[in-house]
Amino acid sequence: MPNLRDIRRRIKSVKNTRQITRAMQLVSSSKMKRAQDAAIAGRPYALLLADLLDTVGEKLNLSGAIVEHQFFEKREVKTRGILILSTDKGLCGPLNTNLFRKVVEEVKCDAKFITVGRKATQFISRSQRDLIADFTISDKASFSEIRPMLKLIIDAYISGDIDTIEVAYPSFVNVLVQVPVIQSLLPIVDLREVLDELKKRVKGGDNVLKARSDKREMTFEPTPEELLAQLPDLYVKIIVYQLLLETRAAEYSARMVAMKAATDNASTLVDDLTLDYNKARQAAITQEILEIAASAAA
Amino acid sequence: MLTLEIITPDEKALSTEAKEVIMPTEMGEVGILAGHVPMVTKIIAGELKVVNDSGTEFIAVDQGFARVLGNTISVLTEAAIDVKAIDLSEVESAQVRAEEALRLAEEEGADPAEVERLETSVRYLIAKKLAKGRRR
Repeated sequence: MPNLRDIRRRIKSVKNTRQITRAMQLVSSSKMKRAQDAAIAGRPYALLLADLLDTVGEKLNLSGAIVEHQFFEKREVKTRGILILSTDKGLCGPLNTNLFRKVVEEVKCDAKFITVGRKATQFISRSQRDLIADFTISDKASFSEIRPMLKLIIDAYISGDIDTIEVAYPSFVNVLVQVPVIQSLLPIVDLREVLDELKKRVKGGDNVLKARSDKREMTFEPTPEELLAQLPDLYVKIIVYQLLLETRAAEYSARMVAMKAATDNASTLVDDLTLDYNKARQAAITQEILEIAASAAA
Repeated sequence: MLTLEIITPDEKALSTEAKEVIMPTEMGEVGILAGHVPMVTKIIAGELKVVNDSGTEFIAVDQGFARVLGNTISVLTEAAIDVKAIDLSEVESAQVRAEEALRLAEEEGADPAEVERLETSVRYLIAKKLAKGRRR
């Protein structure tokens, strides 16, 4: 027979835990809203930039010039460069675990890693993979914050230290579903595919591009070549920024769901324990009555 | 009529109708009217003017790109703000702080990416100050 006081103590402790998980759930759900808005607000920029890059590339191709930019050049892949976007804190369900499993499954050849978030850093060093650098980005994730990271990655790519740039991140499908994805960023192989993908995601994305119906020839100032010198660089930066924002949204929604489940579990546990407690109390009373009755009879 | 959209990484800063838009580009100021030839150009930090029947609006922009296509002008820039909303004293003190930080960073030979970030903020602050100063 469990002790009454023990049960009472457990109920109290479970209730405390429930309070904490409920608070975390509420905090995550408000943060999630903000992160989602930020991710959506950033998409038109990425879309238009990709479209601009496409236009410039097309123009250069039509004029017969071969696009000479190292971001477009396909080279033999010896070392893959993989940027992992993860969270700093845990308690967000299987979000990070799924991401790391994906990385383990997909990356079999030589690879070097750059990580964002403490969880990814821990994972890479624990599994003794080649870590070039790790970065911590604050909760708000402003564009200027990721500059140093991007500079490092792009420099590593240009110097030939790594032959691809791929981004592994938890893609935000909806509040309940986050899918780990490894997206290839450099070399830029098929811009159209990226464009289509972005277009689908931006509300009214077709609007941004409908202006394309203008068939007159495009002029470029100063020159297409000069524009091409700068556009791909910015493009890579913006895409990474966009993915980071999405990672944030995924993190908060995963945490919200995990904490909701934890709160529900705590409630069930409290119910069960309360039932046990009442049973034990009833048993004690019955016992006492029996004893009194027995002594009266004696 | 032209449609002007100014898009920054954080948001769609502005979407409006205009009769004429004057942009600060590398080749000097460029005025765009409806029916302009399609064009892609580089924008420098400065003020962008939106001309309407009711008057002219001024918007401080950072460097970036602009595309003119089918009566739509899309401006991609890292930051943009309506000149009316600029608080000059705040901008000035921010500029002093940013320049100081930039000087320190350069002296200490800090991370080039960090220097680039500070340069961006100084450049945009100066553009804001100039745009505002001229309107007073």
